[in-house]
Amino acid sequence: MHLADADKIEGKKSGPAGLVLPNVGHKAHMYFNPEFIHFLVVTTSHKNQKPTLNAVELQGFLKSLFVSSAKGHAIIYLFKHEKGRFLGTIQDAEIFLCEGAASHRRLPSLPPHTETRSTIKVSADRFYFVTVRFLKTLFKWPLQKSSNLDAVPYCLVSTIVTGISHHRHKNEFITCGERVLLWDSSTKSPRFSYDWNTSGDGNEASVACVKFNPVETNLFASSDYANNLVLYDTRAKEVIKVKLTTRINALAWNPMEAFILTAASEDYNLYSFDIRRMDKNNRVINMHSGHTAAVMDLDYSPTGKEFCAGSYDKSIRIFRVEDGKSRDIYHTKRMFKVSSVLWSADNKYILSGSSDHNVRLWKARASEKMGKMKEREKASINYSEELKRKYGHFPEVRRIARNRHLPKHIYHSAKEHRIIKDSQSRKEGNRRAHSKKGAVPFVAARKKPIVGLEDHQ
Amino acid sequence: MTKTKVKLTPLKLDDDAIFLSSKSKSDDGDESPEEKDEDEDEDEGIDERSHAQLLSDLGKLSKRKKAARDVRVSLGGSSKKVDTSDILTRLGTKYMEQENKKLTTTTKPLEKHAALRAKRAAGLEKVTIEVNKWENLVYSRRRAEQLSFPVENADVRIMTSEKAQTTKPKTSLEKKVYELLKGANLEEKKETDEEKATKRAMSLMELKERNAEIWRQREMKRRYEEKSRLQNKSKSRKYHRILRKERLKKEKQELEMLEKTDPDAALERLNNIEHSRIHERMSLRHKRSKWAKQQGLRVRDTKDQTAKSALEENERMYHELTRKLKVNNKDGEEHDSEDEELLELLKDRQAAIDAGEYDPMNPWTKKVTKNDSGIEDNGDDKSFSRFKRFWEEVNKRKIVELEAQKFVEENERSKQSSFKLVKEKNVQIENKQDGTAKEIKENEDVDQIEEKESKEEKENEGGKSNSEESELDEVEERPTKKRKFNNEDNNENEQDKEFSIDSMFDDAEMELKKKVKRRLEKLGVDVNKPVEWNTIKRRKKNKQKKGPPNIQEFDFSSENMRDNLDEGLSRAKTMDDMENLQTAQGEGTISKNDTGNKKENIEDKLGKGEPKKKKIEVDPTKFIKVNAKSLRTAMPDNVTKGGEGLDDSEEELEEDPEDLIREAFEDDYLIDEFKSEKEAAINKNNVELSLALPGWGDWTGPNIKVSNRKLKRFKIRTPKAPPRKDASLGNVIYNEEADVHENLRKTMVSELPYPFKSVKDFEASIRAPVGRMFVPENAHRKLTAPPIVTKMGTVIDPIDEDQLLKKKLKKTLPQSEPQKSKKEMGKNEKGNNKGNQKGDKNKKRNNRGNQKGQKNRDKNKKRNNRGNQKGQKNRGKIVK
Repeated sequence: MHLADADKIEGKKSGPAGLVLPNVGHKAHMYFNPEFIHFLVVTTSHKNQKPTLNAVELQGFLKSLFVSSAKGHAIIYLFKHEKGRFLGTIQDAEIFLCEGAASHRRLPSLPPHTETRSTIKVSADRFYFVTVRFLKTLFKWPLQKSSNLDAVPYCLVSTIVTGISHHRHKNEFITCGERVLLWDSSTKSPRFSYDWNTSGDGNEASVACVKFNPVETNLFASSDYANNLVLYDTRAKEVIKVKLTTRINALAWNPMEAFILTAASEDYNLYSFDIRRMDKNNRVINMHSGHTAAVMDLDYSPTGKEFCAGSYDKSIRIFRVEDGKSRDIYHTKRMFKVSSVLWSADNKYILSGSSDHNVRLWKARASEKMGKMKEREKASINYSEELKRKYGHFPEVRRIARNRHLPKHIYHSAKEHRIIKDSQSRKEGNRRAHSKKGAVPFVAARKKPIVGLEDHQ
Repeated sequence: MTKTKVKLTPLKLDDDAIFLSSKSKSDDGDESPEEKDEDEDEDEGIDERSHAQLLSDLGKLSKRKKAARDVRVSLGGSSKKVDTSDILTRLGTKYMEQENKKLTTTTKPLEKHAALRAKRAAGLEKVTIEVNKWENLVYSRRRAEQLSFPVENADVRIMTSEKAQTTKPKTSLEKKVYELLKGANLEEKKETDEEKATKRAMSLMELKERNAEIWRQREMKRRYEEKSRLQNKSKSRKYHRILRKERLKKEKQELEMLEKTDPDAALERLNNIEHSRIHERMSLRHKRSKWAKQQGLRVRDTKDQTAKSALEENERMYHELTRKLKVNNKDGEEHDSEDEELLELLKDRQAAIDAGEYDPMNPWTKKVTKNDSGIEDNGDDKSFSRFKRFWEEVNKRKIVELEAQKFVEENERSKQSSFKLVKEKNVQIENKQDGTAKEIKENEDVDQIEEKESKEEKENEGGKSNSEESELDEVEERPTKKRKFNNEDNNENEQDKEFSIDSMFDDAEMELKKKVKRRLEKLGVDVNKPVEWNTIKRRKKNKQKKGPPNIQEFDFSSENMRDNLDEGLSRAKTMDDMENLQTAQGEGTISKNDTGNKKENIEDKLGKGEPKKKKIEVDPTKFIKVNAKSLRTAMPDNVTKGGEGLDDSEEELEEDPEDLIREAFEDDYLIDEFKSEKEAAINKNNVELSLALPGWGDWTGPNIKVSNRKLKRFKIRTPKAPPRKDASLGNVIYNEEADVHENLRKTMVSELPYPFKSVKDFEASIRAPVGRMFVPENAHRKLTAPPIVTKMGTVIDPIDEDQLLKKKLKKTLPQSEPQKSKKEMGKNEKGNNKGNQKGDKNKKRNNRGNQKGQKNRDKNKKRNNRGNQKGQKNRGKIVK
């Protein structure tokens, strides 16, 4: 498909989503007499109802931008530099580098890589980035605008490498795969090998994902195919290990809250952990559900208030950190299984890479008006946002606010899952009713996904 | 790393002994291995056997033992073989015992797994403590009302040596050090105040000079701009006029000068002017140019003043250019020609009159009718005639009013209040009015005829006086119809006059009525008793010549007339109705004789008309229904609005024992009744409306129904109503109209939303307004401030440890707080306004709710504060 054609098709929806909210921007007389205000106050809720409803209805506008269509036939992975400038896509054929979310300039593509996971990271000082090629070779690329990108074969690793995470400040990075290896970019051999990722039967389980903590930079976490979630400290080595019922596909640290770690699970949910309280009782501090297939990737917004998750159910969901249900769902007709998501560093866009070979750029808030605004317009938008917050609990407002068009498959599978869940809970209830008291205990939903802590008897 | 001490045990001592013995054989115990090798080479010949022994022993050595060996070697020793027992004896058993007492056996080192586990546990603890330092910041940011990104970095300032306070040496040592420093001239000399001042002064001078220069340049630029602006500016009309006048004056002067000096040139000039005049007259450039047309249209369409003035200007130009003509033509050719035209016109007209074809209203002979004074005069005539008519009317009214007043005055004088009299007077008024009107008309007619005659005479003469002409014209213009109308209807013009002077009569009537009413009130008669028109009508029919019993009858004002004449929309449709009507009429006549009250009439209709019907069809259910109704009400009888008939029936029922029995079995009927009632309630809303009109497309009339097809065709299709709420409830009729809360329910929150802890708080938050209609602008802005502020295209970095520093800085250095940015100021103010920000999450809302002087404001605040303090304490513990 030609890029231009694709643009036409995908860009159809992208009408101006500017909000011009009625009844809020007019100049009006003010009444400062408290008694009078008290009188008027009673009517405000009714007065505000219409603007509130309007505002809520207008938020339904969705704007997606189409970034690029990648040639080839592979999974696309996105990465960004910790400083936020660079975005890239990787697939089995090429690597694209784009600078900035808004400009998305395409840098010359790189020679083919055959990877299955996001195995590319930019260094802290932004002079190079590292990629893994053929699962065994690390490549170091100079990263300058004008220079020809000539890869420098960095070293051959003795184990299989499937992922990289780079330290925020130091020139250190971690690779995962067969083992978790800590590298120093000045040396050509791993500085340290972490080998706690053995599964129960003694066989080594390969590691799916590894992530450095951007705030408390000595910490990093990994998840492996034996359903473990492991926390490391580069000084004290391994720290804690939690075994879950299902595998964790991706991890993300909250960039504003050093101790919050969120995991995208294969069981369609996302789990937030507080690493300080990963004991028996407080394992999961929040469960974010909504997806109807395995969650493949997630990324925090730079404000740390929200995160987005891409799933095999061909949709992207945006969650508020404190909420269990998603704030919004993004999907298009043509988007296929989402393998990678990225929240832009200016908090305005979300990027998604999916197996339909496309990278899509979405607005992080669908109804947000981009571009310059006059003070008055800003004020009116702020006012309507406040009204939405204020009256968000009212059934009518909430109904409109939560109403989303869902693709058929998501709708039906969600329905099915609900039925399954209901039947399970019913069964449990029945069992509880027909057995000895206390024999079938109540287990909190937040405790269910976790098998237990390793090493802590 | 677990620390394990090496401790001496008997077993180990033995090892040492072995080792020592071998060592003593081999060498002197040098520290470096290389030296050791050399030594060995030297001793080769001395003792080969001992060397072999040494090698074998070395193989057994562990690192620990090596270290031990080094220590021991330093003790020194002979090359002789040492017996350990000797050493032990030398040391003494006592010493050994003492040593052994001090030492204890070490615990077995942990297994690898256990050790690792312990290590991890420790690591976790460490990590937790480390991460916990963020807690305060994280929670405060979570609670913050507004966060702006990217996060501002901590304010780290560098203090220069000048700014820093000079430390005074306190101790003697310090004093010495400072003296030394001074002596060594290591310190930089500080600038004295004078030096600084001179520096500053210099710079000030320079600054002033530079400023002056800049100002001068700016001023020059400004002046230049001003000048050019004025030059470019489009000048006023006045300016141009003056300019033109000056120019003309100049030209004139030049011309005069030329005439004197160079007559040929002057002539040429004059020719030029003449040429331009001719050109203008030929082209009519200023009269009919395209531009002028457009301007004309503009004036017409938009009433554009500028266009109008432009046109005027154009006109003036035209006249100016063509002025010369008027000066030349003094013969009056045009005048002659005009006169000729007029004469022709008059001739034509005369001819037409002679032939009998003359019709002033005929548009085809308008040319003939047109009089010599032209169109404008015509217009004047029209307005004049209108004016005249208006005054005639006014005069008429005045006359009528005068008459009416006269009568009223007479009335007052006589002070007689009989209705008859008044009516007679009224009739008289009418007659008189008619009479006056007649007179007026006749007078008019006479005038008109006279005028006509005079006009004809004047026509012959070709009259010129304007006033006469206008009069003449007025007569001509007046439609002949009116004259006819007047002549024909002279006999029966009562009605017409009534209509034409309706309003006048009304006024007079009102006046009269008021006065009569006043008079009657004086006499003590109630005027306000309403009288139905029907009764009056009937009265008129029955006994027309009898005196009217009620004052209301005098209301003949046009409106009331119309009202009275209009029949009600309700018609008697069935025979029953007709009967009722008749009976009502009959009763009305009777009742009129008795009371003459409308209300009673109606009651009679209801009370006595219905029982008649009921007597015909005897239905037990209906009978019971009435009974049930009376039983149901718990109210006393006098409260219920029941008529006499109802009361009567009740009394009868109570007396009748048979009805009591019926009552007992009434349920059967009631069920049917209820069913039909419910059906009626359901059908009430399912009204089918059709817009079909009878008589369109088919015949209509009595006994002809509109066809069903047609009804269906024009049926109004309404959306299907939602299922009724009583659809599934058998014995209930749900009055959906009475459900006022249907809409309210939509706006009701079923459960308390998350951040709120009490319903009261939530309600307060909802009640508190945020719109600028209700709160001051500043408050509105603060209340609607977005919780997150980000900048487009600005990278937001993950939070940095600087932020922790920032917090600490703020805490520790409150006095040396740096200059706040505006944003921060705003934030802090906001915080102050809204109370302590570190409260519960719903604090914001609470405060919003309580902003307008709520009573529980202080209470909440206190509570929150208390909570905060607790929270802070706890957090502090964790951190420390």
